[in-house]
Amino acid sequence: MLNLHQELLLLAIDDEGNVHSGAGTSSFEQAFCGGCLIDLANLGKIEVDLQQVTVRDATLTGNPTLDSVLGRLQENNDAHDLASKLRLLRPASKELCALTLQSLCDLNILEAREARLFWVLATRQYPIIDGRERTEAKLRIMETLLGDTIPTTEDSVLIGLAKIAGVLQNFLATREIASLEERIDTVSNLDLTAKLVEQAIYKEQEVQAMALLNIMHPTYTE
Amino acid sequence: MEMSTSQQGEFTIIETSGRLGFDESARAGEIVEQAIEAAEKGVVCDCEGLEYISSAGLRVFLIAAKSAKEQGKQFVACGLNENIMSVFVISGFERIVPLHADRQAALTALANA
Repeated sequence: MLNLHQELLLLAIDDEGNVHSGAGTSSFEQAFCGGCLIDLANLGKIEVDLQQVTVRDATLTGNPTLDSVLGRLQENNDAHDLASKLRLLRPASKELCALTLQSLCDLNILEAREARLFWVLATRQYPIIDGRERTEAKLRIMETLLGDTIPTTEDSVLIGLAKIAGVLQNFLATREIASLEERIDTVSNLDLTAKLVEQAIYKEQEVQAMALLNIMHPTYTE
Repeated sequence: MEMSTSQQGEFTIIETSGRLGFDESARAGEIVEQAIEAAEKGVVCDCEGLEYISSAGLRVFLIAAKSAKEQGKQFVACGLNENIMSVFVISGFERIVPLHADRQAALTALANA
């Protein structure tokens, strides 16, 4: 079974192998880094509570992405909360995504292929060789959203991060998401680490929105 | 972490105290799962002595709530201190695990459910 950060990235790839345009957004990058933190917490490598994130076991996991994240956390293992750890990881998010794409290629789930965008720009596509993992992740999300059971932590967190990262739209129509909004809110991110990731992302979006508002309307005060 | 179980009528009481982090979560999960299986109608997790909970510890409660629901039983928690309550509320767990002020309130609510 794939890790959360691998599943999240897989959901961001369309049937043609293009990485969804939303994957370059701040929300996606933070959700992806958050997914790595949740994976490390699940493996017992870090302990997360309301006040801080601490490395409790710095031995390597064997997963290049998670080991890269763990190394960065270990280098900065001072007592800071999850939001500050996300800020620490964010500049490395593209590198971490590249490591994860490579790991999915190594697992023969994707293959890397050079392509041309508008016949001019060189780009890289990741056509799906083995779609079972991606289909399974989508099915788990749909089953949870359309049912009334309490989800597993893994499914709850995948739904929550997919929502924040904007990848639910890759396989659910906007009107479907709207009709499932209440259920999504109830079952998503039933996990402290995931909820702190969500809060940190929304807080940053709020700060960015306020900054933009102040540029557009300098006289505006909250 | 200390965890003990006892019976009170049709309900099993789990009394927990100390710290519930990653190191304690596996054993806590086993104890809670056994308590749910043994319970006739439901389980009250009395957290009055619980001093610390991390993300890993919180997972024990989600797994317990899911397991109880699948077995047609109830799972509630009570006696949470301010910090533990914050963790539950921030994580949205109060929508999944009913929370009560103390053991008596939890038992009354279960008996009337």
